[in-house]
Amino acid sequence: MIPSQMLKGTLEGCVLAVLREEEHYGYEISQRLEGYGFGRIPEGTVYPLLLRLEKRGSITASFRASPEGPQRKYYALTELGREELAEFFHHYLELNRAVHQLIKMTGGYPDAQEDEAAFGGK
Amino acid sequence: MRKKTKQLLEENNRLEEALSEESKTLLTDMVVYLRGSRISTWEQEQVRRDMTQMLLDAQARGDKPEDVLGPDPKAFCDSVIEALPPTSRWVSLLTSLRDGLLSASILAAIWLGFGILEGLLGIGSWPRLTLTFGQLLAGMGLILISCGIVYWICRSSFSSNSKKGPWVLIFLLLFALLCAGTFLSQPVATLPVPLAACGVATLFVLYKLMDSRLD
Repeated sequence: MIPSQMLKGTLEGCVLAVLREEEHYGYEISQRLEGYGFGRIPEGTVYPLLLRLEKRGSITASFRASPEGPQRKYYALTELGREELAEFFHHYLELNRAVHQLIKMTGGYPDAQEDEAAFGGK
Repeated sequence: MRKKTKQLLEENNRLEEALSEESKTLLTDMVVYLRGSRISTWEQEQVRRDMTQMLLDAQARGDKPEDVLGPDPKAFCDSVIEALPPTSRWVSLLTSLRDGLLSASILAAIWLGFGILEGLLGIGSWPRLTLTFGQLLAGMGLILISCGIVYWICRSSFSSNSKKGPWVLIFLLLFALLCAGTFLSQPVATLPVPLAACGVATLFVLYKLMDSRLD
């Protein structure tokens, strides 16, 4: 499970990434994130992020009827959201490269299996 | 309250009826907490609709409210409040003034009603009504205490010991105001009944005018 403090800075970008291909509603987004290996992220954690993104104009929301009863709020990426997502990818790659480099230069991962997966062994 | 906000509020009231008792209680706590924040009533109602739909959706899936909102509903509300723009100080001031006008018009109508009753019973300064210093002080004190109680209820909606509260202090203050209203009888203004009635009506019209443009 990824610690919430570690997730904090990246979750907004990850939500934008989930919405890259198609519209989703809140619960679907949290399910997708779980499917990608983020662990269980309740809809209540995702909702404030969606609100913030909507207010900023990065996503839009529309209501659609659901077969199970209440209407659902579907979120879609806007042009601004796409630009922010590209920026997020850029910054994330930068961070990823730096952390990867740091781990490699300071003796690799403590776990041999993780080290093998990341650097193909010493 | 503007028409679209009122419509959404009524729609939310209807939507809420389908919730289980557990979800309804939780939603009430959350809505009360949001009411005490500086986000507009329109935004509050939009969030309320989203939360109700989330809970209804969870109910349909057989999930518990905490599965959707996480274990700490107060933290959820705080992050929602943080995500939304607060109303400007100017709007907050106007909203407080509007609420104050409603309270003042109700208190003034009660004062007017008692004045007329005294006139019918042949006591008091009929056909003129006297507003005493004590009545004015008690009225203003009542409005301030009511605002304080509402604020305290909103901020402590998740607190399990909210029932203990500062009730003794409140009753002492109310008793002091009652004494002030009874014993501080220096007149502040003496008005003819029609003028007093016009004053009460003006307060209410001002409230209605502000209410139709705020929230």
